[in-house]
Amino acid sequence: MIKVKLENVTKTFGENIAINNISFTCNDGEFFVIFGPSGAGKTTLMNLIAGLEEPSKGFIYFNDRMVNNVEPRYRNVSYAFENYSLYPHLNVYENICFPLKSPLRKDRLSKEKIDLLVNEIVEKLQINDLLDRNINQLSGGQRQRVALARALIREPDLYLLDEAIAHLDAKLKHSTRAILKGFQKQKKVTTIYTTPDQLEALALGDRIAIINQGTLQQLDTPENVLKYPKNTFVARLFGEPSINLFNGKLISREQKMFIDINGVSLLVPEENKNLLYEKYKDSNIIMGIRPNDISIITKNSDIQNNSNIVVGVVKLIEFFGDSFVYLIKFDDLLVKVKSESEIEVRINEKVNLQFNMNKIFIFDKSTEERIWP
Amino acid sequence: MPKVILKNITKKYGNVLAVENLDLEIKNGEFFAILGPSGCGKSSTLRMIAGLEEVTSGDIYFDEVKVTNLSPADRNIALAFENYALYPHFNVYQNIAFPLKIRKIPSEEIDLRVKEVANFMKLTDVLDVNVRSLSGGQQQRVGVARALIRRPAVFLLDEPISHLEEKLKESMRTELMRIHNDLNVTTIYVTHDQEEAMSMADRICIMNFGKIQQIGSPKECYINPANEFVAGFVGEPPMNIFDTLIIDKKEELKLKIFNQEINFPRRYIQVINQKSEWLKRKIVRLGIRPVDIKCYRTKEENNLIEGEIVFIELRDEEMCVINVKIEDFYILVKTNRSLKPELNKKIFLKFNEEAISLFDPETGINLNR
Repeated sequence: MIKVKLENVTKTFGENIAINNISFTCNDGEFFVIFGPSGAGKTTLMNLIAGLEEPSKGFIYFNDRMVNNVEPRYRNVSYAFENYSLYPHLNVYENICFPLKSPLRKDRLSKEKIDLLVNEIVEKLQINDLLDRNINQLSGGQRQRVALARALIREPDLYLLDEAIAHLDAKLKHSTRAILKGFQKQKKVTTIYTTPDQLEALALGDRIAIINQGTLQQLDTPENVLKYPKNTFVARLFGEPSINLFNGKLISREQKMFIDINGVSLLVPEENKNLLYEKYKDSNIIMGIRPNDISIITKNSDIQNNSNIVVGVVKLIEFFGDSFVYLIKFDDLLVKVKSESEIEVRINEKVNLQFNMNKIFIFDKSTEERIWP
Repeated sequence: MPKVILKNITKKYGNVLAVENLDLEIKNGEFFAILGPSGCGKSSTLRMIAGLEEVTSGDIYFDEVKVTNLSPADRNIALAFENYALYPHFNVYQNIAFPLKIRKIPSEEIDLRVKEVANFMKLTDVLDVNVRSLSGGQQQRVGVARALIRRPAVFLLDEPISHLEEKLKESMRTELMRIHNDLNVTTIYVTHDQEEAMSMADRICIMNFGKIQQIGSPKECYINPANEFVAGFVGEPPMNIFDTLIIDKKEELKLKIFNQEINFPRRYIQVINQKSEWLKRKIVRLGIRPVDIKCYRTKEENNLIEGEIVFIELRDEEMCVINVKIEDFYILVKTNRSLKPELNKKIFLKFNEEAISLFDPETGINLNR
């Protein structure tokens, strides 16, 4: 299989810069997720790697071979398109085995061998009862699984899967993710997979490349993008509901370090103090805290210490089945708090919020890059 | 604000039955969601309430007033679609003012009301801007502002935010709830997205194949789903549902799950004694949510169900969803990451009996119904 390397790749369409100087290496056998909102440039990146588009600047390598000028059909890539691109005049079986009959293949497969391969993949994707159907008789989710089967039926050097399971219903999505990742690890084919869905990115990626407006924001493991988001953009993308971000100022008082938000001082834990003190004392910063790192305290007696308490008013309560989200207004700020159990509060009730300051993120005010942890 | 009543509404398109004998009563000032997959009849229902579609049979009332044959303009409703169809050559102000302008309302009053609604929708700063240069979220707000400026009695929303970015969706959800809470206008919200319906609505009507499956608060639908369809449609990750056996020991009832016996859920004991045919038929469908299964890395207790972890999905810094293979079944479990689950390793599961739902294997109806 292969390693895919992008070196300073830029793609422009007229005035519009779709991809802006992106470099990364996708390792041999890796499940590499490209994640970002729609319009970020995900599909353009895929088309560049597949050879359907040419870079305006920069180079693309498969292992050590520069492929900028190699035609798509000579790149040995299997591409599942987001819009399926199935052949409407062929049935499901014929669509899936189509890549096996490519004139570029050196060997001609027997009918039995083809049937064997088709059966293997359709069973995996649970579409075995659809083989005789016409494409126009299929639902969106079924079409998507046929497109995926057609891409996975051969073992190329590289799979490119563009939002390949986006249109499946919730139940199928879960099982298909597991099947897809299991299949990929078994075949060890390098795979690049795009998605706008944070849950899918976290679930599937060995590493995740996060892109926005054509630029690479961060490339790291799911674990690390959660723990060490490079900037506020990445921090906001992961986690449901989004991280709370507040403008604040780092101040020191009586040998202690505080973050001041709208006149309320929150104590920074001792261990963080020195680094922050030297570099960022008296600086404006953005503090981030995830909704499950804030707790609502309804009884005054439950307050353990009086620091890091913010008083607010409950504005909204959202129910998510296995959790509750409370929207609390504090001055002109809105704070989201997530709890796995229901809290006895009413709309417009006054509550105390306790911030777990061991879990905060601090971002530079001007660059919005993470400075802590 | 009126309540909205649908009495025995049926809608046919040619021979196709889109909505069948629908009875609904939406309370005054309520945020009511109609939830279901595509083709379930939810949009047809909304369009009949709006007067954009005629009913085939049945009647619609706003309070005591029969509106079945009234034109949309005479119903005092506002409708916002996903595609708001803003006028691209107008600026924000002109778009919002449009519904009043065509009603020949004096321009001083229009000006007052546009500014009021713009302030409420946080659009004051962009009133002069052409709508084409707005972000998706701002365009959405202009659409809502244009619908609200008429001070409607009933606010109808058809998948208004379904195709927005996740994060934009999150903030629009908050915004729509705020509008509803502040204006207290009866709101009917159609969506296929269970998360939207669950998090926003006072009550939900879940539809499938043109029929009501369940009406209830989000919590009722989640904790006590009327049937297997609702059970599988509401909640993320989806509920695990599979066949199981009732074992009738002389002293007590048990459920057999993958070679283990667990206690029969207490909330079904009375039901099962009343419907004793179940004890003879033995097989029932069991539903359990991924959060109601506890996992252990070792066999710490008896009666734990052994499986193998085939997939792990990180959710956030605390939680993960693991996919556990037991015999030929795949069971989803949502658990804390402090458990440190490992791929391809054994895991031992314990079902919380009291959170189990049981369904009729033929009809899919919850046995307690």
